[in-house]
Formats: sequence, structure tokens, C-alpha cells
Amino acid sequence: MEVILDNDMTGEEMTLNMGPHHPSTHGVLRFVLKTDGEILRKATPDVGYLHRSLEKIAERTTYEGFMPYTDRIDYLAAMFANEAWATACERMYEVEVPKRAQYLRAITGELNRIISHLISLGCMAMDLGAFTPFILALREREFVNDFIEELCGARLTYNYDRIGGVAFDIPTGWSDKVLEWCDHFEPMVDEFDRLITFNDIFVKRCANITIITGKEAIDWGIVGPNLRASGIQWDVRRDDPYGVYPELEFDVPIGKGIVGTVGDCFDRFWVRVEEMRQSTRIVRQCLKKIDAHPVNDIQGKLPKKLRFEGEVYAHVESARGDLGIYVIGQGKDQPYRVRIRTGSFTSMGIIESKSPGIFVADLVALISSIDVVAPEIDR
Amino acid sequence: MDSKAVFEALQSKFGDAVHDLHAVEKKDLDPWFFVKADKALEVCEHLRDAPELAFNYMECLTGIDWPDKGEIHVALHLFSYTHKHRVVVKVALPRESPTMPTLSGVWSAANWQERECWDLVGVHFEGHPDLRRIMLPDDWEGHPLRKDYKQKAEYHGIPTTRPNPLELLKIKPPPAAEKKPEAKDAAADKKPAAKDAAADKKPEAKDAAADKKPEAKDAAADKKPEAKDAAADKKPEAKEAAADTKPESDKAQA
Repeated sequence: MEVILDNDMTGEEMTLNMGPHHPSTHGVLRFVLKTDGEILRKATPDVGYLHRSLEKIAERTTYEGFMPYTDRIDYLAAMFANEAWATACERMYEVEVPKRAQYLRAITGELNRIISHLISLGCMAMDLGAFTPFILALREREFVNDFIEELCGARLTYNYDRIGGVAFDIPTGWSDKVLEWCDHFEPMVDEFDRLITFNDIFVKRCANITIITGKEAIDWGIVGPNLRASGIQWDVRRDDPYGVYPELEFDVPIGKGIVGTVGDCFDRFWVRVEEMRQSTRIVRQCLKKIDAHPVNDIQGKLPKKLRFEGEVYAHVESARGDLGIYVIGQGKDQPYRVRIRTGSFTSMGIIESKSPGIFVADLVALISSIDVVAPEIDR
Repeated sequence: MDSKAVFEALQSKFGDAVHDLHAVEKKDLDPWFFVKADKALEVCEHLRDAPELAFNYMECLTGIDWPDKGEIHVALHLFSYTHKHRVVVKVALPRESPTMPTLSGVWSAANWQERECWDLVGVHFEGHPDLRRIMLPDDWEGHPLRKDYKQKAEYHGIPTTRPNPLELLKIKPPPAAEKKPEAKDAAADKKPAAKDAAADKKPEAKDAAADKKPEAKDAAADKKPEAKDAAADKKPEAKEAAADTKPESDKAQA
């Protein structure tokens, strides 16, 4: 023992490259690690591999024409980017969106939130060494993919929302199918809990790992489930409401530190599991309420030419948190400047400051628990 | 607190450093005001720390290029979780040397957003801990979100443009359409049909058909209505017609 202690452990610092194609980096992401054995001195994220200059493209397309591009901001949750762009444009032109379209947006949005969280949770479990939950999550996701495909013809890049409404009304029998799936899905979340969430090994890998306190989370501009996992009660749907969310009942789960400390990796996982339950609840309510509104009344009245002068900022609660779009118009067909503010981008910033002193394996837990998606970082 | 109240509170403290409140009538659009670049750090610290303002969340930092005004604006969207109010602050910088103090000490969220702003718009944030390019490669030239940005033709031998794929796939006009020795409609109708029919048949039939051609033309010149119809409308019949002519060509060969 003494021998070991006498030998001062000042081994060489090793520089390690993680990514851009490391399977646990969720897309094309790269980290440059400075390690001392298994312990990190520093992890520097290197992003930009998927930069497609969407903001520049926006300056060259029309307001309607940019809608399909917004799908590509976050391919796992395209509905929210659609909704954010539509909301921003509707604010410019003061368009009244029909109630039925708003309900459809809420339904598709919440379904999208569920499948995005399923991917996130499944991947996190897989990154930490449990493969089965990923298969289970993808199986559930497949059902929803089919629903959305039936609704709008696409499984990933939906392009479903329109400025002033949505593209298609629900097909016959669709609501019943979705409700049936909801009945099937809720017990499946409990099963998911038994399988992985409260699994001993998993809990040991996640509890008390890389704690982000509420204050830090706000300071770093962390949003969405990650912010709530740090114990901050904030959800755009409830606190800065848009669409039909004021009429709906749902809880906003926050991290409670059930097995560790508030703001650890486990809380970020658990908050997403709870959000899936809440989203199912919202889908049920919406499907009940949507029948009161006339069929096919899904498109509001737009001015003939979409031209806008001024600036507007609109944000929605995406699966990865506050997704904001800031548009400046100069009275032309194209916007003058568009800025897309995404949850993944700001979440990535905190990794460097959180990395010193943790294990390499814990870095994997941190990355997957904050659920970054590479195209949303790079845009 | 609405933007106007925030503006007045700031103006009473900082005087002229906060100016030009841009009020907006439409209900959903946010008003904004300017802050002078040299006072930006102090104003932002005050915005964060004053208990009645408490803007603890920096939502969005945007650089906007205005070549006609000769300015670059940095727009900050600030939000307060405590009071649930938002404000938009802008800093106007000269376009030739856009420099302002970094805000990453005020809100850590500004760290990466300032890097992005430097990368794409070219605003220099003085005192930033790590002002490197974030989206583009380190040796990239220029800032693409400036309005006068010109894309280079290539980057390290990788072309930044590609030929129009439609050009590559352009359909060439069929050569047969150009050959028209005698401008007779009937002959033009007849010829391709006869060729097709011959191609379907045995290879030597082609030669036969080639031999046959003048005859066919003559036939067309004679204007037998049923032959014309057969050739133009009904291919199978045209084939039959060709088959009918075959024995004759065989005879000719014999």
C-alpha cells in the first residue's frame, strides 16, 4: 500500500480521440479527451460535422419553402421544428389557426415527443450496456411511425405543419388505432421501468453521476427535460403556452433525486420516462376534444403574398427543450435573417466544464443522458 | 415587467448608453432597444443581478449583418425564470471591426453562442476564453452569414459546387428524326414502323427491309390507304405487313 502511495501517480496525460464515428456519440460528434488513465482531465467537444448552413439556406428560400428544411433541424423530432417555424410565421402575419389544426399539432407533437424519448432512452440504455431496452423502445416507436406515416406520408421528415394550419386531416379510423395503442403503451412504460429504469446495474451507472444543479442549468441555458431534471419547474407548454396547451391537463415532471441527487444522469432518464406518460395523457385528451371541431377545417386564411417586415421570436417545447426561431423580415419574399436556437446546442456547451474528474464511461452516460442529436447542434 | 419598463429602468441607471427603444404595436412581436458596445458588459451584469430584472437565462444570441447601415447587430434574447419576462437587447457594432466584450462571464450560455456568432458572422468577442470556429473548419476563410460573403470554388481540392445533374442526363434528340430525304408524311410514317417490324424479326430481315425501302416508299407514294393505317396505328398489323413482304424479299434474294 505504501509503495503505491509513495509512487506519485503523475502518469502521462494521454490524448484520445472519441468520434466522429463512435457509436455512443449520437451522430457525427467528436470529443478530444485528455485522460489520466480512466479519469478525464478534460473532454473538448468538436462539433460542426453536420453543419448544413440552414440559416443561410433560409435567406434564399421563401417563408413557405423553408418548411421542409426545418424537418432537418432535428430528424428525431421534426414535428416541433415544423411547429416552431409555423408559429413564428403565424405571429408575423397574425394568422388565426383553426382549432382542429391546433389539436392536430398537439397530437402529432406529443406522439413525436414519445418516439423521440423512446430513441433517447433506448440509446442511453444501450450505451450503458443494456441492449434489450433499445429493441423494446424501437418496437413501440414503429407503431407511432406507422401512425404518422398514415397521417402525412412520412416517417421521419414529416413536413406536416403549414403556415396557418396543418397539411392533412386524420384519416378514418386513425383515432381509434391511436387510442388502442395508448392503452397498450401505458403498461409498456411500466414494463420499461421494470426492465431498465429501476434496474440495479443501470441505477448504479447513473445515480449521482455528473450532477447538473439547477443554477448551473439555467446559467448554461440548458432547456427541456434536462432543465427539469435539475429541479427547475419550467415547461414552455405550460408557462408560456401556445396552441391548445392551456386547455389540456398534464403534469410537468421534475427531477427528484429518487435514487441519487437531483440533476444526475438518472433524473434526466427518469424525467423522460415520466414525460412519455404525460404525453400519452395529452394525446388521449386531444383525441377526445378534436371531434368538437369541424372536419377538414385545418387551414387558416393567409395573405396572398407572404411578405413581412419586422422581427419575431417564437419558441415551442421540443423533445429537446426550448426550440426558438428568430426571424427578421425586410418586406421581401425571403426572410432577411433566420436564427434557430436549439436545445442540443446549448446542452453541448456544458460537457466541457462537467468533464474534469469523471470516468470515460461516465462521459458516455452524460452525453446520452442529455440526449443531444448531432444535426440539431450543427444545423 | 415589460420591455418599456426595463428600458426606463436601465436608462435611469446608465443614461445614454441605453437608447432607441423600438416599440412594436403588434401584440406578439417583441420590442427591442440598443445598448452601446462599451457599456454592454455592465448593462448585462445589471440585467442579470438586479432583483427586479433577474434575467438569468440567455435564450439566444444572434449576429445580424446590415451592409446598408454599415453595421453588425448582436441581438440578445433574455428571459427571466423568476419573473417570466423577456427582453431583446441589441448592440450595434461597426461593420469594419465588430468588437464587443464577451458576455460569457455573465451567462455561460453565451460561450458557445458567441463562438458561433464569431464563426458565421465574424463578431469578435474580446476576452472570450476560447474564441475558435465552431461549425466550420479552423482554416475556413470568411464568415458565411455576412451578406457580401462569396463562396470559394473549392476547399482543399473539394469543389463546393457540382455540375447540374440535369445537364448530365440531358436527352439527345433521336438521330432518325433528322433524316428526311423525301418530305413525304406517309413515307416518314411508314419508315420507322417497317424498321421496328424488321428488328423484331430475324436479323437478315433487316437487310431485306433495307432493300425493301424504296419499294415501300413507292407503295406510300401510291398511297394505299390500308397500308398507311396499318403502319401508323396498329403495330401488330404493321408486323404482319412486314411479314407479308418477307416472302417477296426472299424471292428477291433467291
